[in-house]
Amino acid sequence: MSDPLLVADHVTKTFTARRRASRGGSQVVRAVDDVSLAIEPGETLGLVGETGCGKSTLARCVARLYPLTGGTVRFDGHDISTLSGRRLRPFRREMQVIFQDPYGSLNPRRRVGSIIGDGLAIHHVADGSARREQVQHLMEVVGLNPEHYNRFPADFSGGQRQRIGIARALALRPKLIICDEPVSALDVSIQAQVINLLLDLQSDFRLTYLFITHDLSVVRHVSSRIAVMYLGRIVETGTVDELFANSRHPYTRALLSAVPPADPDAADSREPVVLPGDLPSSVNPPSGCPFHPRCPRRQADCELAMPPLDPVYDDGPDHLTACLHPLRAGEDLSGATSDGAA
Amino acid sequence: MTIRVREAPDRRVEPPAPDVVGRGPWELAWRRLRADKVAMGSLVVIVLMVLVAVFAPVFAHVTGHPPNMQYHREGLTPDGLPRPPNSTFVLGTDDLGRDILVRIAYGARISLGVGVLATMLTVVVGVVLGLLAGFLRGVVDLVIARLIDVVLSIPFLLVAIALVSVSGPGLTITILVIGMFSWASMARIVRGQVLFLREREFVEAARSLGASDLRIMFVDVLPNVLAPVIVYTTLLIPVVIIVQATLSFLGLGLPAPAADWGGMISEAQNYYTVAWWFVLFPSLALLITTIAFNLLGDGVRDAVDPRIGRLVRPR
Amino acid sequence: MRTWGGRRAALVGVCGLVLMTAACGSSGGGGSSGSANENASRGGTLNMLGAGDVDYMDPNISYYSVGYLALRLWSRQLFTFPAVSGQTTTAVPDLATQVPTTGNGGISKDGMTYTITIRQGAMWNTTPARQVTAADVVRGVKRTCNPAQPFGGTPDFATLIQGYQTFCDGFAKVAQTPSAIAGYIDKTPLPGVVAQGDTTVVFHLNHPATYFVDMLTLPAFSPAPVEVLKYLPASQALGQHEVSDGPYQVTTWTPTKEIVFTRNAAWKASTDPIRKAYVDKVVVNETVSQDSIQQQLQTGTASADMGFDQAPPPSQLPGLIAKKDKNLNLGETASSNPYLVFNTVSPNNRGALGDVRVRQALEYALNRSDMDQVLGGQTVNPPLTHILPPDISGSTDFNLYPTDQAKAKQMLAAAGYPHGMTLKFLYRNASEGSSKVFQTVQQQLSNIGVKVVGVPSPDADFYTKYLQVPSAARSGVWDLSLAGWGADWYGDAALSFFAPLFSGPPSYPPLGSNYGFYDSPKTNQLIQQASTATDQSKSGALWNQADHQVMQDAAIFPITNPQQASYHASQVHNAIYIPAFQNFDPANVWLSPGTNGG
Repeated sequence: MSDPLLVADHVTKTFTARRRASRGGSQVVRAVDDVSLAIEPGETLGLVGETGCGKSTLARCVARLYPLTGGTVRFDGHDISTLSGRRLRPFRREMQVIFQDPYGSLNPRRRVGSIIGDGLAIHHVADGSARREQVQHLMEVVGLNPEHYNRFPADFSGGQRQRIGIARALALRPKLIICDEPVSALDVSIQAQVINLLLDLQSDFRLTYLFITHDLSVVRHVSSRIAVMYLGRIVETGTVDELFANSRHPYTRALLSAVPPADPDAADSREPVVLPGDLPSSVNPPSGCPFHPRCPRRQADCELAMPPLDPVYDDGPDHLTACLHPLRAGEDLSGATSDGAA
Repeated sequence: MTIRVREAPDRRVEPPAPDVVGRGPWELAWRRLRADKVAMGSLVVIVLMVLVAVFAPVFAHVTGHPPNMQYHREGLTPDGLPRPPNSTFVLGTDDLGRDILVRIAYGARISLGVGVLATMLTVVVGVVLGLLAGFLRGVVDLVIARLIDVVLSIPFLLVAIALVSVSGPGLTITILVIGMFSWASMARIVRGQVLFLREREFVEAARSLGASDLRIMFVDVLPNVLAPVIVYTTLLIPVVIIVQATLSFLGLGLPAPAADWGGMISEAQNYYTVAWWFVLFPSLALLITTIAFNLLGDGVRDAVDPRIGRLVRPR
Repeated sequence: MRTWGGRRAALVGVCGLVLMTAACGSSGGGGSSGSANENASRGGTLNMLGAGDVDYMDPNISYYSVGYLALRLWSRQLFTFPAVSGQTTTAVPDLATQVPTTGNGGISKDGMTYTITIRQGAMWNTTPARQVTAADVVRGVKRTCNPAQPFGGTPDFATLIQGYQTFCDGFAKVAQTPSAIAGYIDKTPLPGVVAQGDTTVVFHLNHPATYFVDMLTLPAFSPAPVEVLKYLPASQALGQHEVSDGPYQVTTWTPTKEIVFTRNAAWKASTDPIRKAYVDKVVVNETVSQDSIQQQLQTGTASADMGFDQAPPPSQLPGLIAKKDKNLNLGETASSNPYLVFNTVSPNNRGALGDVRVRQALEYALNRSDMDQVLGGQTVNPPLTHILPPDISGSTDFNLYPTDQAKAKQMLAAAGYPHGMTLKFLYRNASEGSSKVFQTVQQQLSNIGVKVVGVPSPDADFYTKYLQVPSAARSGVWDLSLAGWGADWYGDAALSFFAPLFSGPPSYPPLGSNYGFYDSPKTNQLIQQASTATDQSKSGALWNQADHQVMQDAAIFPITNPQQASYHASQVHNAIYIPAFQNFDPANVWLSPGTNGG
C-alpha cells in the first residue's frame, strides 16, 4: 500500500454556542471528536452517518475550511492543519470540494464561465481566452454545453448545476475531491447520472474521493472503503464488502438494514431495524459509548467506558469497530441479548 | 453487482435548460423595469431633468437672461416685488428681479449634482464598511456596528446645520456632511445582507478554491448585495436632494448668488402671499424630481428583487 | 443704538433682529387713525399680544424699545415724546413743568447748568400717595450705574454730567446687595445732579450740550422712589413690587408670560399732559407667535388689540401695503439701516479702500434705488443719501454721489485701478436683506470692473467674530460689509450717530462701532464743536457740516432710513406711532365700545 494521500489524526472540532436561554453559560458542541482516518491515493472513502453526526464538519476540517480544535491533518505528507492564507493556497489546488446544495454553492450573480474558471483565475493558471478555452473544455467534460459559458446558474437545472460544481472542482486538476453529499439534493434519476459522471472522472483523472453521504446505497456503489460516523466519532470502518457482509457495530448494522438489497432476489432480506429515540445532542453526549442509549445490545458497562476503535474478533487491521459488545458474523441485531462478552 | 443507479449511461445528453437565453439577473430586472410604466415615466422625467441641468446655459442664451442677472426695471415692481410670468420672464422673476426659469435650470445642476455625488459617497463608504463589518465580523464588526448605531442616533439635520454653520456653507461641505450621515443606513443594510451571504456555500466554495478574503468580499459577496444597494441608492438620491434643499432653505446652502432650489424656495417664503410663482416653480421642480426618483426607486426595487420589498426606506 | 443684531435691537423685534428691513416700513410717521378724540370712549381692556418680554421692569435700567413701551404706562420721565402726529420725536415736558431754555432761565448762559422743576401733584402710588420729588430724580440717575445691573447707555452721558464718572467708578466697587447699593446711593453725592428743595432738580454739565433735554427723555433718567432701594436693581422682585407714578400700575408680572396693568388711583390726569389713559386695564400676553398675532389682529377679536414686541410678519407686509390697510402704520425709526461700510484699513488691493478716491468711485458706482427696491421698495425703505436720517437735528437732504458708473470707472482708473479690483463682502447669509444687498452690490460693482466675492457669516458670528474684531478688519478678512445704526434718543440726537460711528480712535471697535476705522481730523473736530455748542441752531449746522464731511470722505454708503411697521386691530383708535417705542402709544389709544372686553 502506498502512502496515504490524506491522513486525519485525532481531529477534533468543537463549536461554542452562546445561548441566551442558559444564562451566561456558553455550550461547547463537539461536532467532531477525536477522529482519525486515512485516504489512499485513488480510492474512494465513503463517510456515512445520519444527518448531524458531524460528517460534513469533518469534511470541512480536512479541507481546512474550518480551523481545527485539535489533531492534525496531513496532505501528501505535509501537515496542513495550522497553515493559513497564502501558505495554504498551494494545497487548495490539490484538494477541492463538491458541495451538497447545487443552488447555494453557485454564486447566482456570476456567470457559469467565471464560476468554473474561478480557480484558474485565483491561482493565475490561465487568463483571457486560454481560461475560456479551458472552462469550455471542462464544461464538455462534465457534460454541459460549452456555449452556455455566459449563462447564469439560474438558467440551469439542479443536475446541471451540480455538473457546474464538479467542473469547478475539477478545474485545478486536484488530487483529492471531497464530495459532500453531492447528489442528495438531486432527483433520483439525476443522482445516477451525476454519480456515474463522478466515477468516470475518477478513472479519467485518477482522482481520490472522500465521499460523504447518508445514503448507503450510493456509498456502496461508489466507495472502496467506508467509515461510519455517529455523534462526531467513527464507530466502524472497513472495506465496502466487509462492512456490508460482516458489520460489527450495532449502529452500522441498523443503518445497513435500511438499505434495499443490491439484489432484490437475495435470500437474506433482513427486516429493517428501527432504532429507538433520536440522535442525542452532541452538546451533552451520553457517557461511555455514545450509542448506548439507542443500542439494542447495550449492557451496563456501555454507559461507563468509551470503546476504542480497534479490530474485533478475528477482523484484520482494515476493519475497525468501536463497540464493547460487537456483533459476530451472522448474528442478528434483533436477538438483542446475545452472549455479549468477546 | 447490478447497480440500480446506473441507468443513464450517457452523461452528455441531459436535456437543455428551459428556454432562457443567457439573460442575467440584471437583464431580467431591466426587462421587468421596462414593463413598469410608472418607473419608465419617472425615468423619462429624470432624464429630462438631467438634460435641463446639462443644457442650463441654453436657457440663459435663449432667454438672454444670465442666471444671476438682476432686472430692476423689467423684473421687479417699484416696491421690489417679483413680476409674475410674462412673455419676457416665462416663469416670472424672483425677489431680485432674476429669471426664475433660468435659475431653476441652473438649480437642477446643483440639486442633481449634489444628489448624485453625495449619494455616490454614501454608497462607497456604506458598502465598504458594511462589507467589512459583515464579512470580517469580530472587532471590525463591533467597531463599525457601534459606529452605525451612533451615526443613526444622531439627529442628522441638527448636526448638519451645526457643522455647516461652523465650516461655512459650500458644495463640498454639503456633500461631505450628507455622506457622513447617510452611509450608516447603507452600511447597516449591506452588513445584514453580508452576514447572511457569508454563510452561503458559494463563499465556502470560493474559499476552498483558495480565494482571499478580499476577493471573496468583492467578487463573490458584493454582486449579491448590489440589488438592495441599487434600490437604496435610487431611493437615497431624492432624500439627498431634499437634504441639500433643506440646508439651502435654512441658509446653509451655496453662497449667494448661486441658484439652487432650496435657496430659491427659502428666498420665496416671504413672498408666497404676493408672488405665487416665486415659490411654486422651484418647489415644483424639487417635487417632480424627488417624486420621479422615488417612483423609479420603487420600480427598481420591484424589478431587481421582489424579496427586498421589506427594506427600510432611507431616512 | 446699534440696530441689526446689536444688543438693543435684539428685543426690538423683527426689524432690528434680522436685516428684514422690508418689515420696518413707513407711510410717513403719522397716526393711521384719524378718529376725532372728542368721541373717545373710555374704559375697556387693551390686549397686547407678544412673543417676548420686556428687557427689565426698571426704568433706570431698561434699554430696549419694548421696555420703553411698557414703561409708558406706569413710569414718567422729566421729558418725553407726545402722542401727537408729526411731533412724536419732539421732547415735551412730562414731569417737568416746562422745557428749559436760556430764555426762561432753565439753562444757564454757559449752557452747562439745567434747572428743572417737577409738577406739583405728580404722585407715587405709595400709601399714602406721595409727591414725586427732585430727590427721586437724583436717586434714579444714581441707580443707572449700579453694580448689579448698570444701564447699557451710560456712555452717552458718562462724561457729560459732572462727577458722574467718578460716582460710577466708586459705585462699581460696591457689593451687589440692596443694602450696600442703597447705602452708596444715600451717602455718595453726585455733583452733577442736585435736588434743590423738594421739586427742583439741577443738572451740572461738563460742557454745553444742546441735546441734553432730548437725552433726558431716556427712561434711565426717570425718578426712583425710595422704596425701590429695597430690591436689587432690575431684579424680578423689584419688577413685581414697582411703585408707579404713571396712569397705570404693574398689577401682576409673570416674566415671559403675562403683564397686567390696572389704573393707578394716585395718578391725576391734570398733572399728566402726555397720557390720556383711556383704557381701564392693559393685559400683555407674551406667549403668542408672530404669525398668530397678525392673524388675530386682522380677525378683529376683542382679545387682540395691538402687538407688543412683534411687528407684522415680513411675508405679509407687501400684501398689507398693497391693499393700503388702514390699520398698518409705517413709522419713522430715525435709523440708517443697513448702510454699507468701507474697511478703510483693509490691506487688500494695495490698500485701495484707504484711498478716498476709490471709496468715492464706489459711491458713484453703487445704485441706491436698486438696493432700496430689493429691500422692499422706497415706501418702506426711503433712500438715505447721508449720515443723519431725517428727524435728527442737523439732517438736511443732500446727495454727493448721484449714480454715475462711467464717472466711477474713470475715478477708479485715476486712482490707479484701471482694471478694477476684487473686494470681499462680509454679509449674513441667513439674513434675506443682507444677502440681497450683497448680491445687488455684486452686480452693480461688476459694471465698473470690481469683482465682489461673498464672505458669508452666520448671524451669531457677524459682530463677535468679524465686525467687532479689529484684527479682522486690519488683516483684510473683509473690505465691504453691512451694519445698521439707530439713535438712542430722538430730536437732537446727531451725537449718538457721530460719536460711536465716526469719531476716530475712540469709536474703533470693539468699544465703538466705527467698523471701517474711519478717522478724519476734520470730522473729529466738527464732532467736538457740535457736541459742545451752546446753541441748538449752531450745533445743528455743525452736525450738518460733519455729515457732509463724512460723506465727502465716503466712510460709508448709506442706503435707507427704514420704516417700522406696526399693526393694530380695527377697534383701536388714536393709535399714534412713537419712534422711541417702535409701536403705538398704549397710553393714548381708545377702544370701540362693544369690542373693548377680553
